[in-house]
Amino acid sequence: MSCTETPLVRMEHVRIVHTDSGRPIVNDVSFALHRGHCLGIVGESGSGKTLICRALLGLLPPALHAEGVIRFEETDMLRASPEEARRLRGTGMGSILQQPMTAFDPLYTLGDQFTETLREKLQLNAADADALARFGLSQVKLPETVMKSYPHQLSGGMLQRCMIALTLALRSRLVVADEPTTALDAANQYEVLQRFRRLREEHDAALIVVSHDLGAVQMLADSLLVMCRGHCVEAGDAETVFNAPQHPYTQYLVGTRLALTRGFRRALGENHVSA
Amino acid sequence: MNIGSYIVRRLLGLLPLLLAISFFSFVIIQLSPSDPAEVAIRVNAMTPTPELIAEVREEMGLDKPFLERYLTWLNNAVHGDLGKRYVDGKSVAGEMLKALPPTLMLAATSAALMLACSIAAAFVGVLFEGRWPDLLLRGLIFLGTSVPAFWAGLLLIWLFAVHLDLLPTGGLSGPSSLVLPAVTLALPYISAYARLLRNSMVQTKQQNFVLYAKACGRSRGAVLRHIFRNSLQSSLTGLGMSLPKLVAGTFVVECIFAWPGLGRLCVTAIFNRDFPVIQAYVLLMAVLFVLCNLCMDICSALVDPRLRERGLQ
Amino acid sequence: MTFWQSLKRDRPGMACLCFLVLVALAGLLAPYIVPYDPADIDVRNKFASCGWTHWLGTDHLGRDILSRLVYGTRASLGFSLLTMGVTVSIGIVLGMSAGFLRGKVEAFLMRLCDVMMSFPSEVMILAIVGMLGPGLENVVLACVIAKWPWYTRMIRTVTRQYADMNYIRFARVAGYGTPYIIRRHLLPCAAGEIIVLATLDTGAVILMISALSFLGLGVQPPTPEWGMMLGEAKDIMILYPEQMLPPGITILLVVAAFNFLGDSLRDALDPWHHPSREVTV
Repeated sequence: MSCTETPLVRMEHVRIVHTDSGRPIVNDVSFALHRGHCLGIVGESGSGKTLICRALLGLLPPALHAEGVIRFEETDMLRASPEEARRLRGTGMGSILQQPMTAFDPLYTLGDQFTETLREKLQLNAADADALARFGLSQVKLPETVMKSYPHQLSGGMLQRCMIALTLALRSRLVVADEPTTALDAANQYEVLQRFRRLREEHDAALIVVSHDLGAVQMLADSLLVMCRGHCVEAGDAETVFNAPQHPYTQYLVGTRLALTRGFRRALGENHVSA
Repeated sequence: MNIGSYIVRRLLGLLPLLLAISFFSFVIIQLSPSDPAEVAIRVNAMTPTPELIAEVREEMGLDKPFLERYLTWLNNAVHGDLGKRYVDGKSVAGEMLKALPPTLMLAATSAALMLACSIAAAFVGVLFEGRWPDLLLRGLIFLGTSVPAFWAGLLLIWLFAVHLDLLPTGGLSGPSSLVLPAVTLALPYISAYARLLRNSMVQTKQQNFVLYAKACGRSRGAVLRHIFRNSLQSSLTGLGMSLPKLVAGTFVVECIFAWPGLGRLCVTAIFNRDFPVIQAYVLLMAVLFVLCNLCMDICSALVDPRLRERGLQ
Repeated sequence: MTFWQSLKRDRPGMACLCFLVLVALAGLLAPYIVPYDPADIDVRNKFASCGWTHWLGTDHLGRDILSRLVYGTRASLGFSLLTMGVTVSIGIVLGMSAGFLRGKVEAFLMRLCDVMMSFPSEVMILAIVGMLGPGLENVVLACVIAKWPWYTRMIRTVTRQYADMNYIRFARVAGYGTPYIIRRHLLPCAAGEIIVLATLDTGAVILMISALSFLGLGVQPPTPEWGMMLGEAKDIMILYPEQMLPPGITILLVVAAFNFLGDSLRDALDPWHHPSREVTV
């Protein structure tokens, strides 16, 4: 782990402000993320986690704007032209969205949408794009028939994996995953988390995982950012934060997480006994 | 199953509706307070004596029971015989056939104009949402829904035909005579459809898949194309409703511009109390309306894979 | 009522409402406020231009245009309001019966609505006027016949939607009769949607009445009506094009006011309303 190299993503004192009223919604967020590492952002819903990701992607809602410094590789995202930012999205920063069921255009097959995106972003011809899309799907263990399926014919978990496949095919250097496990059942959750781990190990991609589910983040993250009502209340090494939470809110989060798993384990154990 | 069997099933489903429509167009004239036989005589400037009325009633088959008359009429209508005009005894079907092409030509031109203008307006609305071109356009659209079409037609005639002397005031005489009627007819529908399409596009813009396309770094044009396809899909039903309304609404425009079409034929027939023509007009329009709806459903099914599956289940 | 309060805050909407009330009052009080009899023919004074004696000038028979416009309010606005009143009443009675009685009554009414709605209303109106002959009462009747299925269907949907709600069930269990439930619970719920649709439709009916009168199928002379005034102006268009302006602008303003008011009411009723929300998935 060489911390001397320039980080892939760097945020310094980032504030996200409502343009009309000047009211800040996210205050003073700073972090640095290196290649091959994973940052977890946790917090309750409405704490500003998603907005941080969208600010990084340059896709904040029209009523909001970001202040401070956001750098991706060499680019200053807050001063980059829309065209520059657009070129970085996809190949530079891939995204996994919160609701997989609505993330694809319902009128086109996934194959169409994949090849269309790949051809545009990587300047490929139709055959190459098709082959690359199939390769991406095989990486996430989806059958090739998915290429000819419409989004409504697939489950949320499969569509989630489709998004991962697209980031794999695009060879995104950073993957921003917003609540990647909320829409999934337990078995799919585990599966998806495994994919993320491989994505990181095999492709040397950096990962930002946003979640209110500490368990999911715990599996992946090297460092952690805890958000509460627009403020960053705790940041640092994941291990340290989990084992010795400083802020009362983090302590509460970690506490409930442990209580939940204890309850879950107990229920499982009792079931085993009765069965 | 394929799209062909879907169409056949929908057509079969329409049969009862078509039957009901034919019954309605038959009954509507029977409900008229005036006796068709008497009207037929008066139209020909004869005095309706009781003997003459009885004679004409028999000739027209009015003395037979109601159901029998309906079945005879339906049978004839299916075979393309819609009766004779009271005024001059000409075949109604023949006159309708003669008047149909000008009406369809007018309606088709208007529909094309409507589509082109609405799509353009909707794109301007989405690209400049909330800024002055959008606001201006929304004002124009609002004006368009409120302006009486016949008044707009008169103003257009005055400006382009009388004042500037660029286009003919009316009648069917070459392509230039099509311009004013088509614009007049399209005006209210442009507003209605542009509004529908614009609202639909503004909403589609908020959808998750648009955000994902942007997050994948897709170009503006590609994102717009996806937005457009989806909004077109959701406003196709609205278009299906407005096309036959466009054909039906031709009657005012045809009268203003002395256009030799179906609407004018029907309005003249109303003045002459020429019942067979009115009857045939109602029947034709209703059938057109139903078929148009069917076409739109098929188009929706072709565009939207979800509907296609639901329709085939 | 919050509905009224949010409408009150919508200034353009209120302005439209005030304008329409003023126009309606002018029509009601026409005999007391107009300077001339609308049927007063004064051929020596025809085509007088705007001025102090005749504010909007006179037409081809020397009749005062302003007076005719004000009197025309009775035919155009008055009869379209009447049309909507009758239509909505029919819709409420039939829609509520369908929604409450269910079974065969509902099936029959809904089939009937389907058949009626499979006709474009323009054709329907033309057919009925054709059957009954030209005349304002026939146009009103035609509009009512062409429009009642829409209201019946909508009110039935609202009724069914609310009839299953717990508080209505509770009211039934508590022993309240159906008329009481309709008056106390269902009508207030349906009122908003009915008002919005009826307001927008009133504009459409005004356009229809004036279009038919323009063609000579509606109001018969000498009763003044806006569409008919346009029809008369059409014949003298080449020499006196300005005669087309007063009736045209009047129709435009009144219809625009109704449309705008309808939109405002819709916003007041449901601030998050979007016309195609139910279409998107």
